[in-house]
Amino acid sequence: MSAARTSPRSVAVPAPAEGTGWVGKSIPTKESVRFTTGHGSYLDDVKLEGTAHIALVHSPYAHARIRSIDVKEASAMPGVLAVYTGEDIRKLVDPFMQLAPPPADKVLDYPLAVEKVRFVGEPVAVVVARDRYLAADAAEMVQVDYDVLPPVMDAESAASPSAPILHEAIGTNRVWDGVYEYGDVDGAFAQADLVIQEKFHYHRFNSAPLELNAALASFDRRTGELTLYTNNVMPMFCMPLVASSLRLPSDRIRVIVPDVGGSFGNKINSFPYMVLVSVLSMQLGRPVKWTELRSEFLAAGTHGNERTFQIEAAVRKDGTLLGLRGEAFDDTGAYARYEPAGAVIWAQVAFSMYRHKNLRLHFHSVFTNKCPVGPNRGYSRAQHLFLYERIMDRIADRLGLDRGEVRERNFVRADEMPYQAPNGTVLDGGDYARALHRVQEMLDLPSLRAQQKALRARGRYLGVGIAAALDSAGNNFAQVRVINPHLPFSGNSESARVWMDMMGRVHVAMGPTNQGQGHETMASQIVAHELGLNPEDVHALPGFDSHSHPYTGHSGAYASRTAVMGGGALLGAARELRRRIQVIAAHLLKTAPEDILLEKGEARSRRTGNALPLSVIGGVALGNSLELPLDMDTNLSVTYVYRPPFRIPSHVDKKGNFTLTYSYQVHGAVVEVDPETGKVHLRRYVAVDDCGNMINPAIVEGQVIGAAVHGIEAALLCEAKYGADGQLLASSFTDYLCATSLDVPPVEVEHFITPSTAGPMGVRGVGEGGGTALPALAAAVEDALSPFGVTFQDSHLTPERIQSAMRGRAPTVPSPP
Amino acid sequence: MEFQGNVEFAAPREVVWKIIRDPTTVAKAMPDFRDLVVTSPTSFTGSAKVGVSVIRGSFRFQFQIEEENPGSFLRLSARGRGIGSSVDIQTRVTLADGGSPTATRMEWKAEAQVGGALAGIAQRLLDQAADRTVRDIFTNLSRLVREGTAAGP
Amino acid sequence: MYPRPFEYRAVTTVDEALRVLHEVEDGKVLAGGQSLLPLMKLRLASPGVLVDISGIPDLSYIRPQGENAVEIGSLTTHDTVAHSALLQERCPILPAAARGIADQQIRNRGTIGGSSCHADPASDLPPTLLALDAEFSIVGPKGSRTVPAKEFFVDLFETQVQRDEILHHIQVPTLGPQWGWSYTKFNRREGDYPIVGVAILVRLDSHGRRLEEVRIGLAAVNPTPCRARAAERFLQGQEISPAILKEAAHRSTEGLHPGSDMHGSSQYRRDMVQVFVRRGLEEAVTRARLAGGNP
Repeated sequence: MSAARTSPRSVAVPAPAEGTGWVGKSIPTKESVRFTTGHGSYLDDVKLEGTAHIALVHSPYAHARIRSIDVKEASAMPGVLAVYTGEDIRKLVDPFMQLAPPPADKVLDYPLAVEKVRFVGEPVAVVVARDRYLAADAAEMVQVDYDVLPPVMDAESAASPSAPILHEAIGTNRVWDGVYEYGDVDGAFAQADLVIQEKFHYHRFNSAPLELNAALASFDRRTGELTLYTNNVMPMFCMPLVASSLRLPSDRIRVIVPDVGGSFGNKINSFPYMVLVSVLSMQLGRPVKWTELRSEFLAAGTHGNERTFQIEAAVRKDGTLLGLRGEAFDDTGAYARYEPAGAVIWAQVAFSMYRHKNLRLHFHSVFTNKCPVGPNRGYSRAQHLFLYERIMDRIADRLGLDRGEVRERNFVRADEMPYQAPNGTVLDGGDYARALHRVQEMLDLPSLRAQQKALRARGRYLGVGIAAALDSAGNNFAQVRVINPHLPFSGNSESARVWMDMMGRVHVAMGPTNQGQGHETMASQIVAHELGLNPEDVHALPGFDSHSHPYTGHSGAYASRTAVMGGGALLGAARELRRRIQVIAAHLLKTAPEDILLEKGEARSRRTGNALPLSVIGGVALGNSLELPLDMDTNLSVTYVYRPPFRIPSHVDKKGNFTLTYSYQVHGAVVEVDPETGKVHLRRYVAVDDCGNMINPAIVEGQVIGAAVHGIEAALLCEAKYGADGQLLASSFTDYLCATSLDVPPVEVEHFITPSTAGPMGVRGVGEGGGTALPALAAAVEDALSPFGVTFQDSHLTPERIQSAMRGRAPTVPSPP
Repeated sequence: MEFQGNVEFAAPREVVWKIIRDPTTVAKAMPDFRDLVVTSPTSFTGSAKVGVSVIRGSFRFQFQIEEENPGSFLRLSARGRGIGSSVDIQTRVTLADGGSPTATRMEWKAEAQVGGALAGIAQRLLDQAADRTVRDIFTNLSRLVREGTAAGP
Repeated sequence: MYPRPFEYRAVTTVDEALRVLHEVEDGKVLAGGQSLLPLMKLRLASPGVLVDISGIPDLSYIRPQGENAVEIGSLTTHDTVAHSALLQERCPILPAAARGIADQQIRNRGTIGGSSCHADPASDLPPTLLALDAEFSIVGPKGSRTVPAKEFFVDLFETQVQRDEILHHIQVPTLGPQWGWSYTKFNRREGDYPIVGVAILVRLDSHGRRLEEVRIGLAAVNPTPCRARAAERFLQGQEISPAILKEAAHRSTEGLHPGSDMHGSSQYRRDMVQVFVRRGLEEAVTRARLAGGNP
């Protein structure tokens, strides 16, 4: 098998140049002090005079026709300013633009349900009142009469022609449907020694940001300007949706994002609520605020994509994977919203970390009567990577090979990097096999196996599971054209502005919002590094404000992109500012710009040693400018847009570079399973991560640990579970079980550093590798219970699911490791 | 969730029928029922407090007689909404001759569906709470029939 | 938290509490608030008047009643129960059960009386108090009365304490050295309501071979906390053996009607009762043997 090679891509900016070396240092995050001492300013901390508050009326049914809504009693309640139904809102706004191609582009999606409700918790009416309590009291008095319809609760049944239809306007439950085919799949199967057939299910879950969705709109009738405070983390991408729905020109909308208390992708889909508070503010002439309740977030926020695979793997008897073919059913819930992007995002990791060449996947995105899905840490890729890791385990088990050896046999090798996969994506460096070996060493696999054997003899079941995964970052938006060739999106870009004032102080603002990842620190480090300053002396503006922050249509904090995309923009802006400072300083110090070194807050001539503090440079350039020639550029404010060299993929062959960087991780889990109860006790968890050069290793470590815990809780505790009747069972934190420190052992992390051949500064995005925990834990549980011969197809392992699989099975004689 | 039961009354079928077919009887059998409005010969509305102990809220109910065969069969739907939840109960009541010529045997089956906040949050208690609520209603109904038949036709 | 409107009355004496409860129509006693307030927040409960008794100073205590009993004031917090040296010495199963309740913040506020009166079938203390044959002293307008544990829990969220009464204190027995105990709660995540909870007390003969008396309290498997009477009867007087304990575990599901939820179906809960009754018996027997010098 010969790997397709590409030459290392030319990179917009090379690795960090000289400087005081702030990039790569684990300095404490600047913003953590305000976040941990109660001084963060989140959306609900924004107080505007005269603000009205809303309470939503939710559907108790998964699928029903709205017969009538009686708001008389609610409207007459004390403090109530107005009550609006979906029909009322429909007259005031345009439906949201749909990303899907026909016929799903005809879906009518409004902030409140119109004509029908399609999932439990869907908002059907809104009460606006003087305060939140009165609004909630009145919302209970809104009388909605429904005709209950049969719900469609799983994607495979929803795709069947006989299923009840959610959106009559399109006459089908299909959001998108298409075949991805790379290589010679049937040829691969013809050569196979073994064909493995399996069905896997990746369950529904989301995240638990401390701050929930929220929005505050204030419409100024005098100027016709709307100020929209939101904690949406991709607000400028959502802006065209919001502006067109509100029928407002975008120059009349100012977007302000204060500190954000976590998102994990879930806050991208809050635009229906942004439109709702905006239209209410426009109607009522006063600010209107909404802060989501946890029960609303769990029922009607964003769930991660639930996916079912029916898959066949063609395998050689030495464990080489030759090809994969099958179907994927993506349950997107009741509205497509950010979907059907999930139907292509997975293709960023279509071949995972493996060298095989042949893949045919018929992908179905389907509406069901559940909460709409959208980005959730590892968006659409974690599902696909789960499939690969489970297939690797199956190959090993069926052939009697070691699970690690099978991975190693199939991994892309370090000497093949950068490696172009058959669908055009380029893996930008790393040594996957070495990371696997390191995890095996950290776990001390031989002694674990001995321990496992000894414990089995005593009726105790220890198991180890190792899984590997990619963490792709900096997506090429053009991939959505695979789904819909007419979508006006491509590439990716980010904007940053770095400027120096007349006191010589340096300010930074950029497009991505900050939901706690330490962006202000990261920005300060990069700029300080380039300008010879201390990060403490660089002021990164908190939050985002479309009036003061630069941005592009891609701006936002999603897809692990800020270090790469924001980093590229910051570097570009800081270097251009450095150049301008050097020109001015050279004039004042009577030397050449190349001779000027920026260090310790000074511009110094290397040749003469003469130096000027930056305050003098700023003061001269901005306040005492006749000291400089008139044709010298005194603009010390630089806005730079970073654009990676993406191409537009062909929507016919579905090939292209879908994303910029690929961090990778190998996770190892040691579990003990109680065979009588099915409860999994996680004993140890180790992770090796390689995200290339790290700007702030402590931040990276936090991301790796956070993502691992997120994945662990998803595997063992969190499930957005629905009953067959369409009721959401995990509707509060009583049943949606987030892990606490008592449930997860310390995650042991090691970093490899293989600089990216694609990202600026050799950096890769990181933070979504938690998906790795799901296959690692499934593998560990199977390993523990191997004497019983049970396997699991699901990514979520409840004690009851494990116990019922074990029912009636006795352990075989202790099997060799 | 499905529940069923049966009870025998010392009264003829037409007497029992007349009582159970009367919206007032249904109203009295529901917990804390008030505001009974008979909207048509086969429908009526009102509110009741549904729940167990402190977990309890006011629900507005719409009752509809979906099917009836006087003296022998009644299918009644009750659709209630309150506290961010829905409670829908479909009831089938069959009357048959009892052990003696003047006795009536009543068999009932109820199918309850709970939606919204109660269904999710009170999930772990739902079976037991619904069982108790439905049984209480039929216990009340049986008592009302007994009182009604004791008072004479 | 956005509850429905309610009136709030803070009282400082038992008499005042009873007077207010008598006066108001829709009163509900608030102790630690760790069950009631979450329900009010979700609007699933909406009492008209909250009568806050947490300020009554003389209801929070743990004191000996002679040699053979301990009296616990109803406002005693779970944390206090968990760390009581007196209970640890005389009735260690109760602190053990209290230690597993929810998290530290909830244990700091939640009370033994509040938990008992709320009578959530999945709470940890009620089955333990049932197994202990505790006695509940209730005060009301007509004076005070004492109710044995087996009568105290009436139905789902319903106890003998009437609307105009309050639980004053609970008395638990001193367990002698021949007693062994265990409290096991099985849940998916630390601190959650148990999928099943099993409180076990065993009294052995002087040789540590025979079961003189066994009491098994179960949580989360019936509308009320309950005792596994069939298993208890079966074990009484039996010589201890793995087969006997297994058989008792099997019999402990007799008469149980556990509900289902996403964490465990009715069948699963029945299976888990068997597992944890057996394990709990083994643990209790081991403890009794150690205490009785018959390891």
